[in-house]
Amino acid sequence: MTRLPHFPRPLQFALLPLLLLPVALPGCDDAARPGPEEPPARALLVLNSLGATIDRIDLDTGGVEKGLAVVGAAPNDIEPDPESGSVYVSNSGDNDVWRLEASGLLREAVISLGPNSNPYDIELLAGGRIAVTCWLAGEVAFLDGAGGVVERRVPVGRTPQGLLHRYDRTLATVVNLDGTNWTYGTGEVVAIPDGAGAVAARQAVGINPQRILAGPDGRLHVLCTGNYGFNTPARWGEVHVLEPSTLAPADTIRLGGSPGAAVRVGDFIYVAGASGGLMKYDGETHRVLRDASHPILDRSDLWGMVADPERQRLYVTCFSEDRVYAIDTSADTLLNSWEVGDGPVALALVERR
Amino acid sequence: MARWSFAGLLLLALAAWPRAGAADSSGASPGIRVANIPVRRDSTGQLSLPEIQVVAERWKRSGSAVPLATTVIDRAAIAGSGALSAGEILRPVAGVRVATLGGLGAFAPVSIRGSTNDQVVVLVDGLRQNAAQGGGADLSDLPLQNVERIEVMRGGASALYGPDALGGVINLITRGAPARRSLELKAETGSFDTRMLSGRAAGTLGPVAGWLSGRLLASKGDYPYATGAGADSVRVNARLDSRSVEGGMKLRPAWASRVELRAGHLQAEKGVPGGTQFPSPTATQWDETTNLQADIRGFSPRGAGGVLAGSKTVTSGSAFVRRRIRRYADPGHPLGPVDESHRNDSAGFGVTQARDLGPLGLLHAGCDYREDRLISTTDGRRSRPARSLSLRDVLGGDEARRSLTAALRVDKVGGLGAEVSPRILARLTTGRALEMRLSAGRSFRPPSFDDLFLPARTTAAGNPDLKPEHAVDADLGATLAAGRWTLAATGFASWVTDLIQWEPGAAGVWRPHNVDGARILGVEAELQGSFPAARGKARAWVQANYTFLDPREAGDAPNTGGKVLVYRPRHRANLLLRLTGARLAAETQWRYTGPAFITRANTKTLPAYLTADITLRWRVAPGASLEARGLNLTDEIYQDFRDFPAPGRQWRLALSWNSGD
Repeated sequence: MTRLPHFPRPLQFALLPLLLLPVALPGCDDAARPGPEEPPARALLVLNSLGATIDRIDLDTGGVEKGLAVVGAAPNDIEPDPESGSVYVSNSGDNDVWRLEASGLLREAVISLGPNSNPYDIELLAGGRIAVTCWLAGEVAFLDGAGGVVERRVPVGRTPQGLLHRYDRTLATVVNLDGTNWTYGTGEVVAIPDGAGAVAARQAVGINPQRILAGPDGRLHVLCTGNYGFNTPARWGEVHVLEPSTLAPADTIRLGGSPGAAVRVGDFIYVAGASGGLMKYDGETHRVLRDASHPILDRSDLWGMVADPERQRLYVTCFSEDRVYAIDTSADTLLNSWEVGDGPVALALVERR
Repeated sequence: MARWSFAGLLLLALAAWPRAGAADSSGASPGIRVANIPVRRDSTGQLSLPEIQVVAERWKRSGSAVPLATTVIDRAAIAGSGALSAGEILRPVAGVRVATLGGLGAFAPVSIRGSTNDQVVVLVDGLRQNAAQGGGADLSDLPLQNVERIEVMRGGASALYGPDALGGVINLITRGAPARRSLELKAETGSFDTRMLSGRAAGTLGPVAGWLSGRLLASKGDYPYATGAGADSVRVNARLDSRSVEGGMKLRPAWASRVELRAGHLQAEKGVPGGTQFPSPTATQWDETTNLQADIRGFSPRGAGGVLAGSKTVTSGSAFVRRRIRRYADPGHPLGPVDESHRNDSAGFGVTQARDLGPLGLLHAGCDYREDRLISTTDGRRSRPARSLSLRDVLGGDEARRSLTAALRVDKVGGLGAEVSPRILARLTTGRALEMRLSAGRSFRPPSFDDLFLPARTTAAGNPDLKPEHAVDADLGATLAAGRWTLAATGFASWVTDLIQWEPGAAGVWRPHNVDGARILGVEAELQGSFPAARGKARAWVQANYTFLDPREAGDAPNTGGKVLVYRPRHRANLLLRLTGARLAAETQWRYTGPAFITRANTKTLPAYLTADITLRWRVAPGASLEARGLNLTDEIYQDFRDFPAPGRQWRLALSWNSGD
């Protein structure tokens, strides 16, 4: 006969604590929302894409209010409208744009762009209007932000991303990502005159143009991120400089890395992105001051930037570290950093009205 | 700015998707039973080979108790449920969550105790349905007309079932052949142009018993759903057209107690509608799966059959070949036409031997070998051999009040190091009233081919440096029986390390990483009972269960450390009432699913929901039944996954005939 191991006498009440355990443990609630408070005089709004939240950093006290607002799925850009006291947020996963009241971040309007739109960057136009690149739809949508409606859509080409409004026209970068073999075609910059329903001009640029801005030299600076080294040949970050009126190529500035964000601070342009860290070049002379081999801030995934020229500050988000860095642009030194929400991708500077 | 877009969101969605020896009630109600897998050594100490066996790895192992927390769904419950796929019938099981991502044919990922779909092993007669390419098994693809029983084993089980069994194991055991010839036919129609025709023939001719079954199932799947903005829309491109055939034979030669040969083939063409925000109206998926399997049990070259009285050893062996071809094409994709194909082949064999060691227990020793091969337009050509050695010793048995099982398995998978998976299981019964169970052990999951080799491209890339996931888990359960009522509760805890998680990283590209892991706590409570109804031979059954889950990310990451894992509802409850009479039967099933977080920072949730189904069955003539089903009767608007609305109210009407009834 098999000899069996000895067990202690079982407790007849063993079931009871197991059944009561869930009662003692907390349930599943939405994240707690802070109550309304007086907004800071000067603040940084941080858009967290993974957490789908907006944080606020008081630039006077350095205090961080996390999760001040919950926005739509996969938000990608935030743009303040100082005139109306609103901020706009593009929710790439929900295919809409939200207008929020800037001080309390209460939602004022939802502007739906429809399935497969994938709204990306927002550019503020005059009269309460905004332009939005619709990445998957291959369009630039023009919205009446105050009225909460889509006014028109202009097809521009595959996967448009960056936006700039200058000289009575909206300029958009067209990344041209081919989903069949996941390669980048030649990128373009397109120009849409105000009120027009079609592209009036287009100019080929480098690989994966993600950002366009007006340089201190009066020209257009198009930040081409490159192919991250995924395709052959590997292509790295460079800036294509275009004449503003004709879009004719004027110069090419090689930076390295895979930068995708750029801001102008005086005569200088700071760029940062997935790799290469925080770089800098002279926007007048096009001389590279800090490239990917010698960045100001050696971090990856620097996806969002905003400048505060008054205080000589540059703020940069680090997506993978859930952190915002403050840079002193007079000396290009790191001043401070704040821990923020999950996956910060964009910043907006707002002042109390 | 390098951010992600549509493809990244889809990857996030897929990456985020999650992951009983109780006494059988007397009078064995048809239905979902809380039960122990029976020990198979009789009171005289002789070995026996039961029809119902624990299935380990890819082949059935001759009897041994495995007191994992187990739910068994028997043939009567399967037939009575009217379910058209394994996913449908597993939804009300405690600890198990099968997500509804759409109508018939929509991908149905399963999570056991908060696991991912990849961490659940799904077997059909011991044959693994999980492909080495990854993604876990799809329960929407598994037809039920040929299934005798489904065993759902909750908790880590790599020591018994090999790689991937971090969350648990779902084992479908097919029907054999009855002693006399039988023929079954069933025709069904339902909402969204659903049509089904199935049949099964079985019989015995001399020493050979055989069966053949087949099914045709088609559905347009164009169900309406609420958009959330108060408007209604209709799912487009959700069609299903599938056909399957399965057959097998059983022999009893002189040199073995039993030889079984099985073959199956399934073809399906599905529209892939995508999410509501990112629909794919032109996408189609074609699946073709073929299985061949042979089991020899009680092998004895001397012709003793291995199970004759007095034998101290039973030797069994098994071999299989499986091919799954999947093609996905979307000519209208906004970023350009997509056309991908993947061929997953696997083949293997194994031998196991059970030996009666007398007072030292019943020892099982086994070894097996398998090779997985992939030819893929994305991952390229890959192959991975896997070898294992296993030992399991059982002290005690199903007729003993106490049993103790110690199991140890060593797996060597491809280029990875040897994985050692130990487990200890204990069971203690006090009379017929109370039984207690304890299980503790370690499990692992090697990275899939997709995890390792998805080529670097703009949206996603594999990571060849990944390590296997590991989990240490323990559960403690008790079952109290009183008359016709049984109450069971199990508390469990699991610590997952090196969890493979897809996350956006450099360049916004999604890559799998070994992250800190997760800590999962929970409780499963199950109640079942029966009582005579008011009149005549009518009888009523009640089954209810509740699952509490507290799955949290490990580590101290600023926003996600300690947070609840996404898409894991913390509260789930199911209630099933069944009333049977001589000619009429009715069943109603209610399922509550609590809210679930959908962001790792726990900032957004999917709301809770409650659904109700009803089934009425009328025996119109000997052998013939008419069945009417109403699903989601309250037309609940709900989603198990963001942007994938579940169908609303549906009906189904079926007529079946069984020559054996």
